[in-house]
Amino acid sequence: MKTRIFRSAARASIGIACLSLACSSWGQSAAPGATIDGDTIVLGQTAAQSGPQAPIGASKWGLEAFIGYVNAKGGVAGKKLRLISYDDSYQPAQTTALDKKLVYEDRVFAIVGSIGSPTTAAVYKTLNDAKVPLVSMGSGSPIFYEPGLKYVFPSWPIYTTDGETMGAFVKKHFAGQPVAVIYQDDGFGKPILAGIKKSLGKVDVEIPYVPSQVDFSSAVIKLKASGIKVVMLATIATSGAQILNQMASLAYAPTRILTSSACGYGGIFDAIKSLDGTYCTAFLPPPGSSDPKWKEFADAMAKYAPGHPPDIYAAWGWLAGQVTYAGLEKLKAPITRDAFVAQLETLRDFDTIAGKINYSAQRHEGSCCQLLWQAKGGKWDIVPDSGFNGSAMK
Amino acid sequence: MTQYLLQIALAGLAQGSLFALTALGLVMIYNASSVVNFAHGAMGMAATYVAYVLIEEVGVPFPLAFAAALAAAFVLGVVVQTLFLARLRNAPLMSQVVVTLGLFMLIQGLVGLAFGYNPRRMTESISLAPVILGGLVLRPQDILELALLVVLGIALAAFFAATKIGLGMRAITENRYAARLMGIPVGRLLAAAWGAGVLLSAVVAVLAAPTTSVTPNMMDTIVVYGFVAAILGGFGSMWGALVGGLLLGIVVNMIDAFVAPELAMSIVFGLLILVLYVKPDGLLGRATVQKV
Repeated sequence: MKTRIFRSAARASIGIACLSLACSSWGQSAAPGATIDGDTIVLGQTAAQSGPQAPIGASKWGLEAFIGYVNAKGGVAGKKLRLISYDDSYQPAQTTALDKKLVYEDRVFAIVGSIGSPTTAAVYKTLNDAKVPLVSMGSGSPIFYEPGLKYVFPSWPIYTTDGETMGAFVKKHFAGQPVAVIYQDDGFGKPILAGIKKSLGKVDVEIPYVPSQVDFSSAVIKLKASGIKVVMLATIATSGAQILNQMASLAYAPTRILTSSACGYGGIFDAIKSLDGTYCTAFLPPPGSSDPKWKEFADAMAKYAPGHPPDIYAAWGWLAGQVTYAGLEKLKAPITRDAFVAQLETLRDFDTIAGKINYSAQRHEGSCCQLLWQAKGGKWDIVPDSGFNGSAMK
Repeated sequence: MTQYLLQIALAGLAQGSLFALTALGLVMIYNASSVVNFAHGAMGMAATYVAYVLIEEVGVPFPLAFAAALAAAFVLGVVVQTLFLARLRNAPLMSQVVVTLGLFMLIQGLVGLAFGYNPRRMTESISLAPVILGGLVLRPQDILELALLVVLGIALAAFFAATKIGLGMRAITENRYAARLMGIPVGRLLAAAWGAGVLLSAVVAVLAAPTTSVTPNMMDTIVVYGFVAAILGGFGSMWGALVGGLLLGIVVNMIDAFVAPELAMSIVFGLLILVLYVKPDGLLGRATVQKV
């Protein structure tokens, strides 16, 4: 009896181990879809469409709008584009399973415009090992900029640039004033904090938080009691709104600087009544801008993604489309992933809605630069002389 | 430092009053039907959207919109109990619990589809500036939350002690079959208990909305702390829910201010395990005695 139980347990353990190995090693078997053999290039994306991070999943609609715009002009490299986008609810485990589906079942050519630092972190090495291009993910996490990731092409400024932009602005305009940083305690917030400290030298108060936190009264009380005059926030949209509203309710009005994740969504001026005067780091034109690049995007959204506002999250998707297009437009059949990657690595000062993008065989830099917006009278204006150039490819 | 501590404690009491009201609603439903309602927060959230639409899009004054939200919550609680839980009354308890989990996801998903997930601002219940008293900031919102907790706590205690419906609900808790035999309308009282419990969740959600912003996920964290408060106080004890909630609010704020906000939930659950180890029935719970 005991022997039978032992044998059953041993078989079960071996089975579980094999299953785990099979699941974890999906990147090591040859990924299909490396060569386009039809008249459609299928792109894959994962983005939260549900859960607390769902607002940022609007990038799907920007990407759909770009694809509609391109297809209406005849497509790219003689092919039409098609997007398959899945909702990963910002859960890395779901991203892993869905990317596997995209690659092995849907046979996508590339993963484009997927959103999120922890979600993309769960798959980027596997995709790179499987030689599946991962282009313009919605993250500036430093891990995606490491050398040796041949198939990974970030397009955002690295998060440390976000922080350095804030820090440089504070150093220039608020020198000597006590400063604090409230940051999301993960791969999104920590690099921004590191960038701020690199620019400023020191931060007087650091307050980490997790996205599940809803009440920031203690943090705000602490900052007010400490006499902090400048508060920088490396937060997501919901947390940013909560913090600013609680500052107002506690009669606390420091200078506030947000990251673009917390300030580019539609309805923000309704969500945060005390927004006027607040600054926001950005690598895109502000929503509603008269910038021709923004207008082109907004017009395409109205036509190809009606009902979805042209906000900053959708603009991330548009950017992903632009970068992907740049890698495809000069290719001739047969279109392969390696040819796509090689073409991307020739891009120098390639102009996009996010400014100039730079890639080389040695470095996939993405966008270098940021500036600040300021909220005035219910809209965002660009702050003159606030530009910061974080390029390592000078 | 004293002023700082007092400010943190005050914020903690305000936050704790929300946890306590959430716990009260959970306990009320549990006491009546023996079901832990995992959709509690989602149902309160859905009612908040009723208030949001009325205030921000129709222009209805806050008190009327609040009353409408509470009415919607009550109806939702009654409907859920009557349509779903009543049909499962003979099913295993776990099946009933899983139904509430399913409702939680369904309600959140539907509201997310209808309204999206971008944060929306809810008008504060009291549009008055905070009062500064000797450096201490007293937010009218905080005072209202505490006052409501006291009023509702006393009202519920009186309701269960002195009204026919309240006594009937207590009888159902003791022995449902005996209560039925005594002529107590069990079905109607269960529906009323669910309605009242969900109404309390709506009170919390509408009060919390100016802080959390109105989103489909606005109650997720509050309801977790509500569960902890209910267990801490002794799941089943109304006074335990009240005390547990207030204590928890202060503890969470102290952890946020003096330890690490990102560890608040971990520390709270650690403390809960410790309390239950020492007092398994919670702070004010009574040991269950079974005759053999």
